[in-house]
Amino acid sequence: MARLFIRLLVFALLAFAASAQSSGRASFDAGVAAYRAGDFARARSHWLATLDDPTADVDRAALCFDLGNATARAGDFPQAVGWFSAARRLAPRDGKVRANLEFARREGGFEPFDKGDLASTVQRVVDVWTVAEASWFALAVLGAFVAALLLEAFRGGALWKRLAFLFGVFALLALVPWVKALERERADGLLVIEKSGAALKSEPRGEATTIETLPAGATVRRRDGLPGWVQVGGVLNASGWVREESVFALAR
Amino acid sequence: MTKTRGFVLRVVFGAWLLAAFAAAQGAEPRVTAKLSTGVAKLGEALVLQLSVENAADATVDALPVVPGLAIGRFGGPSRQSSTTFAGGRVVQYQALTWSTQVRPEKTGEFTIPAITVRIGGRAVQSAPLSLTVVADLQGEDLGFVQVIPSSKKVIDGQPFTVEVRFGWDVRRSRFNYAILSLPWWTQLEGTVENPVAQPSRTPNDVYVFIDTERFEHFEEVEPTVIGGATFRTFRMTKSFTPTRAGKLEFSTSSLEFGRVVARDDFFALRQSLERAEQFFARGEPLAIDVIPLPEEGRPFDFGGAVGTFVVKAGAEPRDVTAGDSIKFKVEWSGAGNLEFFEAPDPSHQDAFRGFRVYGKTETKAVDRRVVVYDLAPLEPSIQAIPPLEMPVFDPEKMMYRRLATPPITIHVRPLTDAKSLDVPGETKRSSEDLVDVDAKATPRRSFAPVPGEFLLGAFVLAPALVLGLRARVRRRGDPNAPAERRRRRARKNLERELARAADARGRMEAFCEFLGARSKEPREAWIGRRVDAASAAPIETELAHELERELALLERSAWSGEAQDVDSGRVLALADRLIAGGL
Repeated sequence: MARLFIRLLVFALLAFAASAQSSGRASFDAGVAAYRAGDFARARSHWLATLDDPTADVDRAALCFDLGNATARAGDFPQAVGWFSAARRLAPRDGKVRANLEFARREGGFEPFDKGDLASTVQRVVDVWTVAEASWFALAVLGAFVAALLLEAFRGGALWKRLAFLFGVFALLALVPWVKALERERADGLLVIEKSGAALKSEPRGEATTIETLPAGATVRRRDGLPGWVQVGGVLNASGWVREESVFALAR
Repeated sequence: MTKTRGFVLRVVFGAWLLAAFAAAQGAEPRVTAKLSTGVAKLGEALVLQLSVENAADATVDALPVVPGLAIGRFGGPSRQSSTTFAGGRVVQYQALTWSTQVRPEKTGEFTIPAITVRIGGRAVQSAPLSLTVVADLQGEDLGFVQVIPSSKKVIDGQPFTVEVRFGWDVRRSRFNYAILSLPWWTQLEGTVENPVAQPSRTPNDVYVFIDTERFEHFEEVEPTVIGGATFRTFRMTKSFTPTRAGKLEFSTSSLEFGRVVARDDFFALRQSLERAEQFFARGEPLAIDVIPLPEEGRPFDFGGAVGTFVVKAGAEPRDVTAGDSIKFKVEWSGAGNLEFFEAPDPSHQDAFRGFRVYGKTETKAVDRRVVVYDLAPLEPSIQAIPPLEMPVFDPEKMMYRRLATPPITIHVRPLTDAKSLDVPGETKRSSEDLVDVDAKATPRRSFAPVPGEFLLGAFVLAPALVLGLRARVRRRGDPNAPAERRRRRARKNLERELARAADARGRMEAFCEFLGARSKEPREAWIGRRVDAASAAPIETELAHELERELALLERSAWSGEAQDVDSGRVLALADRLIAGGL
């Protein structure tokens, strides 16, 4: 009897999970249908519901990307920049995310993400890894370094020594994408989406002194929050309060 | 009218000559210092020679003082100059040479610092020189060094090779280093160096240096027999192209050889070597005569090609419309100055009157010269790419000849009206829009990251542990020492040599070589050796007896002449047991 009860309980739980998943999926598909019909506001609300549903079996990077498209089609390019940036954080190598991010930044009056200079190129190379990929890559290079060290120890010779030095340098360099990915994927990252820059106030009041203007497209860290206001830090060594609508939370 | 034309021609020729001279004057001055030998006996008189090329006048600063070397004052300079015309260029050669005597006053290794020469207010320095002075050149019967040119007489512009062969008595199997003193190796006055193909296999049990620099582009060749003694022989090669007529002097080449012991430290990028045995040998001085190109019969369009060449040609595409580009590829190969001659210009040859020459791209290598001409036939009546001619001086036949490509058949279609690239009614396209939404959004497979603490810990601990392990391993000696490498390869070499051995003696020598390599002794130490527990340590007594039996059997087979059967598989099995037993 007890065994039958347990089986029924498991079946009920599985059925509930499947129905929750399918309801998340249905909401996503409804968003696609609304988007195809040109109703971008309804598409957006369906996709936001899917995003808030933790059981939805939908790729979150694709969801952020689609939300970026719906927001951009509705004409809100700064908000779309936020969505595409959130999608890029989850899928840093996705070409279509990068393309739409650049498009939205251009249309929204932001500086291009990839300025085409050396610094942007280096950043692009370093930023194409997720934390998991970068950590396994760093471990693999460390493994190659240790293997070269072992071969040098037991076999000797200039070749193995040079390889060990080379892999040692590579291993240190391999930590850079990992550190960058950790920094990028911090849960408290906020993107400034105010086109003319966000006013950094000393206190969470409209009439408080503006101590700095945070440039559009800059990433800051969330420290605290009050209704309508967010305390941020991490830019120009300053910390202060900005209006909630001036920033976009990247962790989705 | 004729007078005016003659005047214009003279002016044009004068301007060309001035431009050509200006180009010739533009060559960078080159300062070379050399000693008559790099290894000398105490008290022996040496000659220090300083040459300045491509400069009409120069003064030498005070000679450096080197304690232990009595360096005299420079006499001279002697002057040498020549002017030749080749390939539309004036090649002017000027050289100033100073000489003095150097007498070593004590033994040791000396460095004569760079000598400064002032050329038109500009200071140019020679390379420093190394000199080893010894009390006695002990070892001339144990080693040798020879400098062998491809020919002792060459034509100006004809490349030649110089082979350096050196080595030591084959019985000195523990010798493992050679330091060659070749005063002409880096700069041979009156020549330019050509690249040469590097040997594919370099012996890894020998250290070779040229002066103080490690050198790895040498190979081992068949042993040389000199005066009845057999010498292990190594070879290295250089190729030069002479740039002036006259004598090319190669100072005496010397060889220091013997045995070194390597000391290895991980954080020192270079291995340090300590001499255990040291011997010296010297070669003979060498001179090569460079003969000028003959004026008689020299074609007006001679571009400086000297050698024995063959030419082949191809063209793509061969079915074209008049005015279309054809890539006409011409390849000269053979022995000669392939990198230095002026490739012929089809637009200067009458046969190519029906073509427009847009340009050429060249690939130069030591063994071939490839030129791809961009040609366009102008008329549909053209049916072939005509032979492209190039005058070449053949040093074997000592005469100029014309080398021509074979004619290549082509089909030229008449030019039709060009079509407009614009297609009416075509709408403009733009990529300036959003990429469409992802309508599937299937979940991506993701994997968990390596925990950060583990990753950082691994980065600190793993190299530290391995370096600690290395320090322990190195207490037992350098695993890259020649003896250690020989020991590691012993089993593989035994298998190969047993398969290769034609008779019982070969198998016995292979087995003794294996035992010698594993015990770090010469092969000869195991021939006729009585194996007892003491001499075969650290292997067990029973295994030592088995080894003694096998050695006795091998020796009987090798020396008795009886057709005793030696089973290679059994020898290999014993070798494996000996390795497992600690040999």
